[in-house]
Amino acid sequence: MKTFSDTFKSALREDRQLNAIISYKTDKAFYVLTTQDDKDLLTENDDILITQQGFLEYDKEAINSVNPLYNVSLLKTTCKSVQIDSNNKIAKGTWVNVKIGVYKEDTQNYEYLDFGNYYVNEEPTYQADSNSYLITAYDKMIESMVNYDDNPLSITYPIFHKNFVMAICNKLGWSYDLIDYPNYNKDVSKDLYTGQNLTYRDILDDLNGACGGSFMFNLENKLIWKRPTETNQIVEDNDLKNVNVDFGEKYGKVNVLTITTNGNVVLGSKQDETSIEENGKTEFNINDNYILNYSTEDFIDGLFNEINGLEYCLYDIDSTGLLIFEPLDIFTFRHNGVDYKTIMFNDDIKLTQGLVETTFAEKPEETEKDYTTTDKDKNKLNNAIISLDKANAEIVLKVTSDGKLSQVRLDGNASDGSIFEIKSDNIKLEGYTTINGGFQVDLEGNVICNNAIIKGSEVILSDNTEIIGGNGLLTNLQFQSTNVKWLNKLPGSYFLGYNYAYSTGAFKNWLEIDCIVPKDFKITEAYVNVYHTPVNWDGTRGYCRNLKLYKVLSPLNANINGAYLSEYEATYNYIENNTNALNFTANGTSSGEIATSSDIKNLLDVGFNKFTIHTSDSVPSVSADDNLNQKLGAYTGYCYAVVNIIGFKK
Amino acid sequence: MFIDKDSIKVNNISFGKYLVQAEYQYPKLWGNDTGRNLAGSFTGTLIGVFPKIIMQFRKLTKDELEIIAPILDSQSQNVTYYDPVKQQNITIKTYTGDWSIVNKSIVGHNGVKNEGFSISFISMRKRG
Repeated sequence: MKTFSDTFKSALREDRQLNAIISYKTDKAFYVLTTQDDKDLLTENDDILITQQGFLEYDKEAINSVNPLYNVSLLKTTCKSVQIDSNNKIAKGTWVNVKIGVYKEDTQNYEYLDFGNYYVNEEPTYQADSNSYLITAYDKMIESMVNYDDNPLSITYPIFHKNFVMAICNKLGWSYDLIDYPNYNKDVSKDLYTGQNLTYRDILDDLNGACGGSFMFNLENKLIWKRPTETNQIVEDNDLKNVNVDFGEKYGKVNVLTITTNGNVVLGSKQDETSIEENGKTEFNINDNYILNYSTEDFIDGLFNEINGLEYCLYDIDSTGLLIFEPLDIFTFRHNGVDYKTIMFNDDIKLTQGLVETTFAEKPEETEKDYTTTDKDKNKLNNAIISLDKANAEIVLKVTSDGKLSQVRLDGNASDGSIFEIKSDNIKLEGYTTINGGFQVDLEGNVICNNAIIKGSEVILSDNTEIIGGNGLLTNLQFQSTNVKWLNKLPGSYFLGYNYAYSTGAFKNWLEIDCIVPKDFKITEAYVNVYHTPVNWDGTRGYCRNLKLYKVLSPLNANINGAYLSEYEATYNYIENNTNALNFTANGTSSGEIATSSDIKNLLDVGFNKFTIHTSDSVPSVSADDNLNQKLGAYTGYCYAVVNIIGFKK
Repeated sequence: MFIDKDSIKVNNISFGKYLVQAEYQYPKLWGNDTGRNLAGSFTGTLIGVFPKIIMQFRKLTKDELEIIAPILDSQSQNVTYYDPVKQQNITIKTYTGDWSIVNKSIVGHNGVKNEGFSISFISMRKRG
């Protein structure tokens, strides 16, 4: 509320003399324009004075009308304006000061109220019919109507809400006088505004939406934050014209706050159950606020505490002139003995030949939210959050309850492509599900892949290869070395080392293992086990040395020579390669051993395979007269081998 | 207030010698907000006082009338008079009302003059 004397209001009532002063400065002079002559304005009663600062031009007939006005919305910034109809042209870029005063008989002079300083931001409009100029000017808030992206703030996030506001003030060269308003110390956690094509005013409005009240300029040209403030002023019937007097219903008490986006998606809400029971429900809605969309939880408590309980009478009146109220002043109409407490939201003062002040208060825009999407359990409301970050193309849906979390995150701005991320203890998909057209899950739970079909217990690959599943099992094909027995009573085995024939002398023995790998048999693993037992050659312990595993190349093409009734043994001439999968020398004790080769699955061909096992040592040079038990027997053990091929039929 | 023979000048011409009477009126002009407030009381903004001087002329000769008539018929006049509120001579820009002259015989013959008449000088602006 403006400051005024005890006799101001009475001087304004009934018959009065009014004066308006418009003062401004140009390069040439200081101008004082009035609607009445006020002998106390100037020390000399001349129209033109020369002062140290230049010419002073005083014109008491230049002003035709003065019209200060403002419209306030809660949770938005306020910008006052003035329209002046003047015979003088006041150019764009001029700061004007406006005062309106009333003549007081007791002091025989005018008492003026200061309406502040205004900036003429457009060239005046010439009015030919009256040969005058219509000048429109705004308070300092007009300076925030500049694009943010052209000259953004250099701040680091997170940043306190109040520090953000002060950073804007410093950027725009504004003085400020800010109290610790609601949510002043809550973090604006990230940049929500860059690239959104906003003005600084838009951003201030957004910040205002997160703290309640209204940011505005006071009469000292400082940015302040103001909430509805009681003035204890009574406006009576003799302050009102006898036309256009309308007192309506009471709005409030506000007891529900909803934060929404897109007009109908509820991001959060709070309510006062006791007030709802006593007064009925009155909801205050904030829609599409960047800060609240992203950080609903952080700000909603402070905001609700600020707005809970708000109430005022709706009205629309023309008064004979009040002049004293500032935006958001609380005052009372007293009409026919009934009090109507209300708030100054809209004020339009028209001073022409006379003075009429039109003021009104309306309801905030009506909204009705669908509460079926929110639970009336206050605790559950706090655990369901939708966070929107339009600037960074991100939406997070999150619910928590007793430490359990379920969350979906859509991120269109991730560095490695867009992301759709689901976190939950259980993820359930219902209905026929497809992925990229190549993976499907039908209603019976069958999974169909472009590269595989899994149906019941069958797995069929894209090349129609079947994978054993369900009751199927891996197979171990085993092939044992089978060779001519040398001695009876020792089935399936062979003395492996050296033998002696009178016709050929000493020669090497070998194990021979034939393996058949079936067609369409997938080998997972293959190896050879050699089972070795030492032999007592007439007191000489014989055991194998340097047994190697050999793969016979083209086994069906062995050069085999034989003759019936011949004294000569049949001969075999294999072309074979050392597989390097086996290198076994027995330990020389009386114990048997099992030697295992490395994996030979890559050596196996489909169909017939032949392996041999024998020493890699050379055949000793002996004669029949030598002690062959010692010369040959000592290097000869008792062995058989088994090839294991593990796999499955496709 | 007529305090000496030159208390009324119109366009710098002293009219005192032509007048038998000067009536000074100080009507107030109220703004368009004038009316009754909701309590039934009179309310309104005083725009200002617009002085009006009604001059009663004596019988005038032909020559005298020919001096005065163009001034009376002009679009506006500058009237200087002594204002009791200002306590000094002030000059106001005025417009005149309608006026008429009565002749009862041939003017100039045998000393016949134009009969006396009155005319109003009304200030265009409020008194400063």
